[in-house]
Amino acid sequence: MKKYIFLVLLILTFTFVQLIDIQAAFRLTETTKETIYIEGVRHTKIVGSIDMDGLITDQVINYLGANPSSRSDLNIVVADNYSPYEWHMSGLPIIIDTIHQRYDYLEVIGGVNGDFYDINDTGQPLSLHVRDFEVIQRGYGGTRNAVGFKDNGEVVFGIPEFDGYELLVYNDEGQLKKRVPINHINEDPLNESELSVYFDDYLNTIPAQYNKVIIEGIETKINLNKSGYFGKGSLVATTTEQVNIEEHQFIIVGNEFNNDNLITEHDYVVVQLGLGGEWNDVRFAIGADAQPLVISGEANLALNAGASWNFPAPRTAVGVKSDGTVFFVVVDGRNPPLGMDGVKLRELGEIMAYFGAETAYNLDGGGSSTMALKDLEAGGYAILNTPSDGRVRSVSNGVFFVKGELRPVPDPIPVWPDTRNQLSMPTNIYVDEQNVLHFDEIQGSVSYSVIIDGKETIVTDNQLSLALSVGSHEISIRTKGGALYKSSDYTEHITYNVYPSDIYKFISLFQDFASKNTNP
Amino acid sequence: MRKILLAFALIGAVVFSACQKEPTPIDIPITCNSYEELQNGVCVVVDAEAKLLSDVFSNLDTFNDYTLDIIVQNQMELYNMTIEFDNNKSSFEIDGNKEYYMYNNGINEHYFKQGDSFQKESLSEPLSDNFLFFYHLDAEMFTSLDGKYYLNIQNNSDIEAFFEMEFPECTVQNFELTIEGEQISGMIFDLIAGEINYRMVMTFSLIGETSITIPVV
Repeated sequence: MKKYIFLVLLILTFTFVQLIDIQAAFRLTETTKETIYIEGVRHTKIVGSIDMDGLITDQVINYLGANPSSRSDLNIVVADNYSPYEWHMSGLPIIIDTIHQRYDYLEVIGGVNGDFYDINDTGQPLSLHVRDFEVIQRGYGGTRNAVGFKDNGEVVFGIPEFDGYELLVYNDEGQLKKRVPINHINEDPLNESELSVYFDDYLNTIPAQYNKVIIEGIETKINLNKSGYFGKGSLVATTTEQVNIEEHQFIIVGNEFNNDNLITEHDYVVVQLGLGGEWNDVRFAIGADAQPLVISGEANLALNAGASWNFPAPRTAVGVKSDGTVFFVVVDGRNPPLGMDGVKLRELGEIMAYFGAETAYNLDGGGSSTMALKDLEAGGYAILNTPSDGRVRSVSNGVFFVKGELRPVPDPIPVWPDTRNQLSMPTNIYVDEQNVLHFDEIQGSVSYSVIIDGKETIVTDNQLSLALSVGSHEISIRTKGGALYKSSDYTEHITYNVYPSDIYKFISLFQDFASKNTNP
Repeated sequence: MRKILLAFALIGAVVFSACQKEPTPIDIPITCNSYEELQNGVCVVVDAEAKLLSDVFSNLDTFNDYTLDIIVQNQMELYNMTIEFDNNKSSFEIDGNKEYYMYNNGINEHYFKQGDSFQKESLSEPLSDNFLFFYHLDAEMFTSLDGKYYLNIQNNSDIEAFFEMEFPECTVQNFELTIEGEQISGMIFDLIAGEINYRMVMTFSLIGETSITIPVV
């Protein structure tokens, strides 16, 4: 009998423990709730309290969300303010400025801080950092999660998959000429067909028996533990002599890889650890914490790791709803007098589930937790939360909603060497009195690249409405052939002058004087 | 006897006709130009500068081909324009962009570059006197001082009429004419429109030597 009683007690004990473990009691009480919409992005601020298993804490929660899959002109970018050859830490407003400099066709609406990072030294993010298809950081180790954003609005969560190092050679239009797998970083090729790349942390001389393409880095990033390399640059020299690598250079070493003039001075190359699997076409990605906050719409109450997971703190999280809505949440903390107690990670998971997350991950928190939003009244960007440091902390990266179309990816060149016919340059270029640029259509073109004062605009039609500032502007155009035709060269530039309105009046007067005073 | 009578009659007729009374001379008053003075019944030039100016404006009527360079200066900003006249043809150019006009059979044709070639259109705007600009001027409107010729203030409105077509209520100040030989060589003046003072510098050249070739359309 004793055995039966013991068995029943044992079963009840297991059942009871499991119930506690997977079904926490959570309630969010909203004392005040304010919602505004800016450019299709919803911001909601909740001041209230949460009750988690009977523990009631005061909270201030900011939510920022939008559905990028519903609109092509609303997108998500991951951004940083890294130096060309070093990592760097910056406050969110400065990172926003950098976004506007890098992509002047995008306007940031709002966003939050991103990945955990080397706060005491370099600012290097700990996990994946992908910027416009470029894998800047592969991340320490292979167990850290990330969140990836694709052009179609799809969001990828989890541990990134990689396809090995790759050499990507792009022409001056950004068309991929060829992708070549890289066999070794900072090690000699083992046979005739292998390819190696040496970065400037390689201290030895590269021997003479290989063909070498020396690349001047536009940007290089090397992991602190040498587990990840990224390089982007353009050709400065080719040689078969032995060489030492100069600072900010990287050298591609092999045998026949450049025999068909694959890499020219007009091209740029990227060396990176290529993403694979469902991460293959991720355009932007940011690193996240070790375990998910929300799984299949339910808070992950089995979560037992991550950044001070069982201590209340300010938190930042990213989630995605079943309809494709992506949202960021910042919960303030470390400030009880202001009703900002902060949350543990399981509590954060409940909050993300409360907002409707199907999947959610924790981002860097504590003093890093920051949310910024476009300030329609004062201009610039307002910090929506109360950073616990008392000021905006410099962070490694961030993730943002932006207004504007992302640049389309140019069609790759079908085969290399390139055997396509080249299209003709546009002719008959002029600007009419309504400031519309015209030129003759070229058969076979997919679009036209119009360079005005060094800045490119792609048009599919053979005209472009100009809105240029007062001054002298240089315009040149090339016909783009897409995958079927080789694009034309750029035309000689034409000069187009925009005058102040009063000078146009003088021009009109003197034109009339010239036209009306001839001798019949 | 009849011959003698005929002879007397003939002589008498000749005598009568030869003795008709001479007409009384009419005293015509001599009118001198403003720069002349009547001395001993003859006009004598007493103001050489004024005479020169008068000659200059007389020559202006014969301006059929010349080049006019125009500088519009607004503080540090300079804008250069060039107008050419060649009888029934003219041109306007700014920053290398040149347009042409030709008056032909009562039609004013405008030639302008569009892309790689020129296009032609007919202009139909009626001629306004205001477009005559400086052709309104004459010597009487100027005061000469130390070899310079200043437009009298009361005559500024003749120049203002041209600019008022684009700058209503503008004023012209400090209008100075420069002369080389017996031709206008330049005009310098201030055009004040609102708060802006434009310094206008106009230079004449290639008078009688300007030739325009209308582009082929």
